[in-house]
Amino acid sequence: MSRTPSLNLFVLAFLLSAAAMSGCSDSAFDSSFVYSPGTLDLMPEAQNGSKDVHGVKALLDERFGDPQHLEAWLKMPIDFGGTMTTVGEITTAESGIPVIKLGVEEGISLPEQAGSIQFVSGACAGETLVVSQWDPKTGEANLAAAPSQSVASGDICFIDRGTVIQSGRMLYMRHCSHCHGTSGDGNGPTARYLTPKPRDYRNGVFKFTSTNDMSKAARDDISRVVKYGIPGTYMPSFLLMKDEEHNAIIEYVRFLTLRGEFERKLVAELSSDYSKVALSSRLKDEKKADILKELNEFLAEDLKESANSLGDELAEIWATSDTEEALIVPSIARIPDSTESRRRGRELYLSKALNCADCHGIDGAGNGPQTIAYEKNPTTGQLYNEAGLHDVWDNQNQPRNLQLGMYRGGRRPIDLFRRIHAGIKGSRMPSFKNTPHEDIWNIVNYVLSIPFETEPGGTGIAPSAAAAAVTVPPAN
Amino acid sequence: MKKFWALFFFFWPTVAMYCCLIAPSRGWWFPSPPMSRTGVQIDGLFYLILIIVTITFVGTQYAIGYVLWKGATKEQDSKAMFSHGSHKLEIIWTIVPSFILVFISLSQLDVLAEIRVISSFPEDAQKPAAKIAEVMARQFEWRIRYAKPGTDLTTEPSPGDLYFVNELHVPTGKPVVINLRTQDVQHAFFSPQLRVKQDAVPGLVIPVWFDVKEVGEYDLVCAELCGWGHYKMKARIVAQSQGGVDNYLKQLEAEQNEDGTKAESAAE
Amino acid sequence: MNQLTFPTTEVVLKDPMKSVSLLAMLGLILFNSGCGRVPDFGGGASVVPEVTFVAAESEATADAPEKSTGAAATGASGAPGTFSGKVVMTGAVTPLPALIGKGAEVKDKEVCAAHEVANEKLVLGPGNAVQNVFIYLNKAPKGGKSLEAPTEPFLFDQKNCQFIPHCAIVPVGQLVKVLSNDPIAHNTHTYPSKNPATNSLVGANDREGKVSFTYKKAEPTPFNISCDFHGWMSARQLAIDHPYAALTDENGAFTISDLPVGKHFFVVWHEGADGGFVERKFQVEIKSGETTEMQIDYPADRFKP
Repeated sequence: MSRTPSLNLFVLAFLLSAAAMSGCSDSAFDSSFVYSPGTLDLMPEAQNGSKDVHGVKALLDERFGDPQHLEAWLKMPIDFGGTMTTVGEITTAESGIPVIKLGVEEGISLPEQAGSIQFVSGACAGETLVVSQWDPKTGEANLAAAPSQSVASGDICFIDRGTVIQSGRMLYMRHCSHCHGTSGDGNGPTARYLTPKPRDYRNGVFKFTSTNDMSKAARDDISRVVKYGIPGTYMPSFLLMKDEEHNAIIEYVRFLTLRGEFERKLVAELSSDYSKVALSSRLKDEKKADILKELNEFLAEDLKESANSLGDELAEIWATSDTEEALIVPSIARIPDSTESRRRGRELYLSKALNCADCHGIDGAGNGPQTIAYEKNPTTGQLYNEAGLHDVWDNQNQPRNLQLGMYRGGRRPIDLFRRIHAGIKGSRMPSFKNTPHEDIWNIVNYVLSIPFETEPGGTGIAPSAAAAAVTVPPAN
Repeated sequence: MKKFWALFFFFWPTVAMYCCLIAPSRGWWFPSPPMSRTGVQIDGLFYLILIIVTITFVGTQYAIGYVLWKGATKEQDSKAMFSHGSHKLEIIWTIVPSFILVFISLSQLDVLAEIRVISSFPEDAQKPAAKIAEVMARQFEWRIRYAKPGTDLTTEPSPGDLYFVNELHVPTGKPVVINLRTQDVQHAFFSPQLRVKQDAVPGLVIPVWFDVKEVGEYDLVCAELCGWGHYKMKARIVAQSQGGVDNYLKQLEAEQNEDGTKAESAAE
Repeated sequence: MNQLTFPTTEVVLKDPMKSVSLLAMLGLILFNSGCGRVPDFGGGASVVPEVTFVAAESEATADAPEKSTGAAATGASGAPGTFSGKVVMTGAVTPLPALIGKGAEVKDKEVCAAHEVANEKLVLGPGNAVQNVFIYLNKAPKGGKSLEAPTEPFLFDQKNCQFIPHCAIVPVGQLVKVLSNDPIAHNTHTYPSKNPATNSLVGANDREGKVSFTYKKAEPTPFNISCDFHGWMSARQLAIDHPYAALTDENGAFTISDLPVGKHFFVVWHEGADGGFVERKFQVEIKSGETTEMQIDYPADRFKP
């Protein structure tokens, strides 16, 4: 013990500080968006293009960028953030840098904070200037540095353009990406531990929507899911998030969704002729050089051109899905919940005309005969390895056990009405939009009563003769 | 140099005593003032322990300092006293701490019983009407179930129950009881300001009572490492007047019976 | 290690420099362990991304050439011609057994197994002629006629748990009405690659066609339509935006008329063929005003039951 602890202390201190520093490097690794399997199944020349023509990857990156450098494609129905305003009077500060008065239009509300101004018209178009001082009352912005060209009154500019998508990206990475993945592919680091799998946004399909069966999800639908979570899955509630954070995340989710869907649409243009599989079968009859020439022509003319029209299609359907037009509004108010209504609901539930029991089982336990049948993958025609229903993400998909009283898409009567009316998108639950609304309400009343039945089918009616003919495995 | 060490060991207990004395007034001891009645009692127990620990720590440290000082100022060739194996001392330092520990454990029994033992709950908390909600913890959120307004909460869901997530509304100024449950793993219902902390154990329905003194929003977090998303389990307890809670439940009931035919359904 | 001598604690304390460095070291540990900020997850949660704006119409398309058409069309002119012919399976052909025998134990057997249901994946006519083969041009040829979508709806029926017709070419813009002749519910689930998918319940004996939809875009290949209630039910439809497509009839015959003069490359597609394509580029030369007759061979080994 003649050796004192001082050297040990030094060594320890050194090791500890080295260990502590290693987790703290400034050079954070860059994250990146992944390409969909569809893209990676294309022949490499279609993915990457050549030096003259863009392939799928470049067309996509050009419009959506990567997580560090987002591209905001103005065609997309996304609120990227920012307040559009017109330049008014311009004065010059003592330093010689102009002071710009903004928000001269009537009825415009200026933001409380302003960090930058981006010009979209005038001599400075495209230039972004940093605001050193901002007065939201008068709309006077002092600039940190003079613009390269002179700003003129009447120029149109944005205050803090793109800030919503920026903060959406940051919040998404903190709260969402560990399950949903950086690209929104539902394949984040924790995804492998979860059942059901986190949503892969890239199909452009969200299951629980208030919109009709042919529409996409409205912002409100994504919002509800983020706010209240999805019971029965790992999606938790983010109720305590501030409104602006919440909205930024929704815009970013839309951004990732549109990116994924745009990629799918590009791939759909190419995959029948230029996938790796197509190439190998084509090489039996054709020469590779001919195929490449044809591909290059296709990429240079058709695909480049259709990229914009594909974007238009996407923009249109997502924008209209967010309007009243797409919203499902029952034509009649909910039928008051009564034994009579439930009885009618149960009859419909068991009827051959609606076939609810086929999947959900005669007592609502989610164990109808379809859950033990082997299905074919509708796109490949191959039988799935396991019995039961599958969704568009090729995951096994259980029909809801209605006895649990757990409703993933919400438990309000209108939520159940919409689930039945529009179906559950991406799943095998079809749309019952042509069923009279009165019948749907009766089914809603029956379904809401299932968890409280004293015995299965306890509303007092035996399964009808037709329903009895369906072979149903006994519950449990 | 020896005197330096002796003074060194006098210095630290003095600092410690100073810190302990000013800690309560500086708010170093608790995250916030106690916002519930049991919170006041629990804080009292903490103060009691703080006092005992301060006296013990400072006393023993001064004793060490005193011994060092004596040693430092002694003649170089004086003999040391050999006290090892003294039965008297052994008995003293066994008996004294055990008395302190027994004192601490006895003095907190009443408070513990009031918090944990159903038959010792305040009378008001034992009435069925005091049971305001079921709090179902799950990975990683708090699912709240209120009884249909005008009815008592049932242990298992009943038709007409109202559901919400991550926000619990409680009336102030009277004991309320929640049924704490978990759907999956262990969680713990913890509100630092209300000084409520109770594990949720799979398979058990645990009644937890507390009363909130003032209207306001309080944190509700999970205090049991429950999985990778443990940190996400943050919710809020909204304390309101009874009238405010009733209004809230009425509004919740209206929302939950939404049939989408009204105009505002679009906004919701 | 023992042969080395180390400074004693006393030395450390006597030497102010060493004490300072010790404290500095400890301070460093505390400082570093906190790092003062959240470690970046892939540069994600704390690094502000750059945002650049891309105009809605990228200039790449502003001067895009007029929509180019057809690979064919060598500029030759003349009266349009006709391409007709027959698809014949060559090699050893084994007809498929019936999909569902009469009275077989299947779901809804009183309806679905009322008659024998043939397997329509391969329907052979006389001389091994193959029915339900799609023959079409990928793109409208230059100088070709434009499509006139029929105003009357295309009726897509089902009877005894079979879609009727099994295969169809549906012009873009034509209304598809789904009917049912069965006293049970069906659902029509489409799997197009460019158009939005439909998954809708078709009520029992629906003769009105309450479920209806329209294809807005041409599809590259015929896509699958299925009924989730009756997994064996399937149909194929090709949405197309020009009139140059045909489906072989029960004799395996087809006719495509009004083709501009020149070389054309037809896609020959059959659901049973491995990968779907019988021929990806079946070359046909159309001469002014003439009918070109060809037989398309469908090698039996290309068929995957």
